[in-house]
Amino acid sequence: MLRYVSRMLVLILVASLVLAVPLAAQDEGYVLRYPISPDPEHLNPFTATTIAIGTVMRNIYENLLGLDAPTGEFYPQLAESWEISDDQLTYTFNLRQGVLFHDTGAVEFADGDREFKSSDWVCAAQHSVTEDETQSAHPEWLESVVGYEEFLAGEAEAIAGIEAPDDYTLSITLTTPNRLFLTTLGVPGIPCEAIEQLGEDLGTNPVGTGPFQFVEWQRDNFVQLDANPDYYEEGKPTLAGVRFINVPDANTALLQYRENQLDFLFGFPTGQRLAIMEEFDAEYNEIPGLNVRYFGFKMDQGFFAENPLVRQAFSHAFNRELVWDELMEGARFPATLGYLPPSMPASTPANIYEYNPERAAELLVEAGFPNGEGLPEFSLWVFSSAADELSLPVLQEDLRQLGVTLNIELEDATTYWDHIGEDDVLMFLSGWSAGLEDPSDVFNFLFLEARDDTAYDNPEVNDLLRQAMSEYDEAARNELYQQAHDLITADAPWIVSAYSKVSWLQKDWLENFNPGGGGTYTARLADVIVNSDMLPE
Amino acid sequence: MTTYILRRLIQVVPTMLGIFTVLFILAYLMPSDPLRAVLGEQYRRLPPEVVEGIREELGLNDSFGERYVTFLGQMARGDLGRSYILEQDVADIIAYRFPRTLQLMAGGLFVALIIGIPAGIIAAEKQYTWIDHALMVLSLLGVSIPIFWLALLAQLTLTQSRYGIALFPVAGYEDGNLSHLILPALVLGTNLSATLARVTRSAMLEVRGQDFIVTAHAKGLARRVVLLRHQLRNALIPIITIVGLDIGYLLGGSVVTETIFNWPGLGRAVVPAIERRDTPVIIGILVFGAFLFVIINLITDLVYALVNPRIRYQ
Repeated sequence: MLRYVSRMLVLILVASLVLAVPLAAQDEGYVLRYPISPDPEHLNPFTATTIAIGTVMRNIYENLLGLDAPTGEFYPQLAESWEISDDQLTYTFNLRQGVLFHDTGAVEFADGDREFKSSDWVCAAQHSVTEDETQSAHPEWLESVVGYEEFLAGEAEAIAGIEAPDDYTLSITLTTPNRLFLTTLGVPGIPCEAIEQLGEDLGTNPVGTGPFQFVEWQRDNFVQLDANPDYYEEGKPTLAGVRFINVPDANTALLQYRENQLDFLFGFPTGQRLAIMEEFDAEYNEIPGLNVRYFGFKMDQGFFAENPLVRQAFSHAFNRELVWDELMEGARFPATLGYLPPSMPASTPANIYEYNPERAAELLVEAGFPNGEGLPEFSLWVFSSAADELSLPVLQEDLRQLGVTLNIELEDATTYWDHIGEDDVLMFLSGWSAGLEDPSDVFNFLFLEARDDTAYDNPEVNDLLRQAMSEYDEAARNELYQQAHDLITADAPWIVSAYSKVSWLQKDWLENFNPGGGGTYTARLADVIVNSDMLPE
Repeated sequence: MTTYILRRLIQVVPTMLGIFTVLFILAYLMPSDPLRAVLGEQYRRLPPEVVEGIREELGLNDSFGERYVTFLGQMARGDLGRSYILEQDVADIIAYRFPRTLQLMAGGLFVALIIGIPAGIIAAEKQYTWIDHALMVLSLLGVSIPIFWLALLAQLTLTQSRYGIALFPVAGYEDGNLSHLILPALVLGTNLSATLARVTRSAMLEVRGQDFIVTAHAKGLARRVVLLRHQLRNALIPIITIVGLDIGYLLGGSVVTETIFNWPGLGRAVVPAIERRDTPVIIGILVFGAFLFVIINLITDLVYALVNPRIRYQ
């Protein structure tokens, strides 16, 4: 028995040696090994809300237009060209001819190759407009289109503002001009048959027109995509496929990257950032990101609502540079400007709250609380997040120097997101990721009519933001955003903590991986090229 | 024996009902809703009407009574429901993950048994010698070392060409490829084997002093036969108890191992489900786990009866 067991063990050991050899060059092309965490929740474009889903799905599904992340410019995808009428109300799209849907076997087509036509897009558009939120979670796609309300209410058979005069033309009419219409137009190119046949299984059987097509998904393990052999763009993709490998642990990902079992490393284990940058010097990349971290004050009631000078004093008291440059090894940029990521227009406001403890003390005197006398104890609500951990004791200590007592209240993330909207939370940690380098993508979600948990609501700011939405002249629009930004920073509803960096490692045989500030997931994998001379043996 | 089995089987029903109720109350009391949980700070991107609509759609706005009755009805039909977040039926989630968890359990248990039991027997035989002391210190270490640290250490020493010998893949799962199983099984098994060794040692020692062992030796039986057939067999009851408990532990306690080694098992589904407040998945997997635990306990009891006839006749 013992002999048998030991023989088995030796056998397993030998087998593992053979199998553990890292895969690199294959004859049939290169399959990109892309780490992803968490695993995508599903792959249904109509209910997609998370980055994990978007990371995989943007390779499978295409829209009428694509948005190039590094430049912020639109480029033709399913629509070859497009025109916008002078009154900004009618959009006409000329669709690309001969675009074929993926042949994955999940959907039965009446005759073999199935071409994308305008009617498919209309199908998808109608599927997205519904009261049933488990069918579609994206009313914003078509909200501004003529006939949206009637179709939603079930009073119309079709959305009146969407017309398909022939197979390759689409025309969409809006009720009012909407500067961000093309940006939010997320209706995917999906065959009508998929919507009809798949029902609840739409989320596990994606069929699109993109550069890669779905092959297999083993949840919490990997999603395998292969190159679409019929892709319309000549010579693309050059990769044979992409395997999104779910690696939940940052340390494991680092070890796998080092062993050439992954092509990228997107998250660095805490405390190892500098060591990793040194070890993988030539493979390290970084660009400014579009995320802002902040401590918010409740602005509609409670102590901070009545004491703007105290809010300003706290903003001056916080030593951001110490946190982000020193303690966090440069994981983010300290927020030395305003409330917008620095790469956006209008990102430098008139009021800048630089680290200045003396000024902070003066402001407290002005507010009637010299040396913090007469101030109540404050609670800062936070959720467990490795990224923000070290900013908390620093803020606490900086305020203690001013004579202010700050207690840190830690909550489980889920409880926290529900809790911070309540009245008992006067100060909390939060953040926001913009998807575009446009101030509207921060301001409209956080400062327009009290959308943020600070409940900040300034009628002047609201007016400026609304004007900016229908201002098509870029310079004039940025001026409006500048005014809004000045007003907001004067009110100081946040202590801004940091702006994000998008940083990652990539193997040196990969070229043309170009993400935007929104995150590494915005890179177009169809563009990635493998330099086979650089591949390890 | 049949009445014994039947009696134990009938006890399963009230146990399960109790489990259903406790789980449901816990899930009901859990604060906040799944959409905010899954989106975090980005939940503000969703229009408020979508958030409210989904709550309504999922029945989250119904009263406690309504939800409890619906839930019991579902359980009675064996319908575990559908995930709020994953667009997948809970039964499918379990069917996909359980076989993978089972592999890890079997691997871990195998390692625990082949290390723990022989170590315990040897330590008992060599009581108070340096071998005994060394084995017991090792097993004390084994119990004390946190599993994530052991896992990391194993990854650093056995998978990295830079630090040692790259014998195994760092992590991952592949159908039918055992090389991925070895490290996580070793880590899980080493941890369990420590307790097992200690229990085996003390059980063996307790039996060793008894009259029938003296008799067996006096009959002139070979030492090995006495040891394995008489002594070990009579020491098995506490060992089986520990193994039964270990299986339960492996079912739920392998979350850390699964995360570090990218193993797509049940534990990896439960933790995010809790974070996202995906109640059907939490309840479904816990009910399944509880059911399995009850069954394992039942089997453990039956094995007792098999090993020790006195239990059968009580």
